[in-house]
Amino acid sequence: MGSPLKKIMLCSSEKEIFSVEEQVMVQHSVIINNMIEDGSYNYEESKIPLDCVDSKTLKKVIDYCTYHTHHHNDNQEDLEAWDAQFLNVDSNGLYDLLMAANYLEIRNLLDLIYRTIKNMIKGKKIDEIRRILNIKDHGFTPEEEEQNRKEYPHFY
Amino acid sequence: MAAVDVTEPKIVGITHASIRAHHEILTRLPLTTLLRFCSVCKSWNSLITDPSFALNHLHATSFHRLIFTRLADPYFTDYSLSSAFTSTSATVTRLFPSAVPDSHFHHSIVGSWFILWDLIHGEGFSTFLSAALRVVMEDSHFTDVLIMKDYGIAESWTKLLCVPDLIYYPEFLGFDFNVPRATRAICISDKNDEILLELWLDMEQKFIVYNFSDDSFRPAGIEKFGGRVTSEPTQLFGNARWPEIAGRTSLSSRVQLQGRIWRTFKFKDYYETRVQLYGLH
Repeated sequence: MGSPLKKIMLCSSEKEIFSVEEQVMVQHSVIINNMIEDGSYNYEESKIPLDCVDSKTLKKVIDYCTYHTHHHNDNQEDLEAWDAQFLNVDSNGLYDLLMAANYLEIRNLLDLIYRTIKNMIKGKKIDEIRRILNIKDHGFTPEEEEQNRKEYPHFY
Repeated sequence: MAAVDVTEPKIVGITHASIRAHHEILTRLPLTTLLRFCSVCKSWNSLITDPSFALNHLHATSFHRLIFTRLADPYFTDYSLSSAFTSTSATVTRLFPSAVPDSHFHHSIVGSWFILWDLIHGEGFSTFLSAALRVVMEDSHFTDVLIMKDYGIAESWTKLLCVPDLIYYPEFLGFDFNVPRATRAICISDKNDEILLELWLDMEQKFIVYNFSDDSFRPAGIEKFGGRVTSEPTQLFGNARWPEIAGRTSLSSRVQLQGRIWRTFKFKDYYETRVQLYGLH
């Protein structure tokens, strides 16, 4: 584990540089933790390129990690409230965050996003889910679709 | 893979990068929901009905102290998820022999399972489950409870505890011990210190709790369950949240006879109740 005073540089897809407390990222991101531990990060020169993460998303990810590093002793309710507020983004934003968390392997953030999406679709009817997730082509043949609709009309 | 518009809005567009996400999200959903989600799109259908998904789902959503008991069978059996989706009568798959490696004692499964899922399929009802706990009766004087630490790995059977025969506790039940009897473990408490046993004495059913930290028995507070109407083998498909049994704050259990008939247990100090879909959240 690195010293809490050290900073590391993260570089977004727009080549914007973000300087973050090393500890914050090491604690949350498996990938960054590995880089620091195996010494592949050079504090003088390196910046970690995150080509698939745009600045807006990266800033949010850093916010998440920073908050959770400094507030991990807060009570669960406060943290959950903060998380809910944090994920109050549109579906594109959520998708970007998901991809970033996946790339950086930030497990608790991933879990939070999965839960959020789960709650978005849970209990919804099939037509609603297709709309929420924008599934245009469900892949069933018209016959299969008709059969399903006939068999389970209450699902739609 | 279904063609999904990944441009706008792009959430959960089905790309390779997000297949894992789909997997993770679907794994978190209850089975009843998944049943419906099979019809959302073909890729979800394939994902949900994939046996490896079923196993992951089993691990992710299992509530560890649900009960299921099955009459003696030399194999552990499992109901496959895919068959549960395609037919109202789930196919039983024999998973692996139940024999404990290197054990030469006579034994039979009389005991129980960690996981029970109930799947409402239209109006039908089917279940599938996974084995993790069982009781071995090696002779008439004690009952070993073994636990399968890694699901499906026969080598991982580990002896958890030994329940002495009630013959040593005649003052507890006060009946004639010469009648035929059989014991089944139903579930283990969350604290791993008590086990709920079902006892059959000359066709009479009793439920008792054995505390293995202080080696004592006590009545389980379960009075009876509904009258029997069938000569068919009775499978007791119960599920109960053990801490709630102990506190009698709320409790549920059911008996399923040949698929469709529902029964409810009656518990002292509590009213009859229909089961909730525990373990699904």
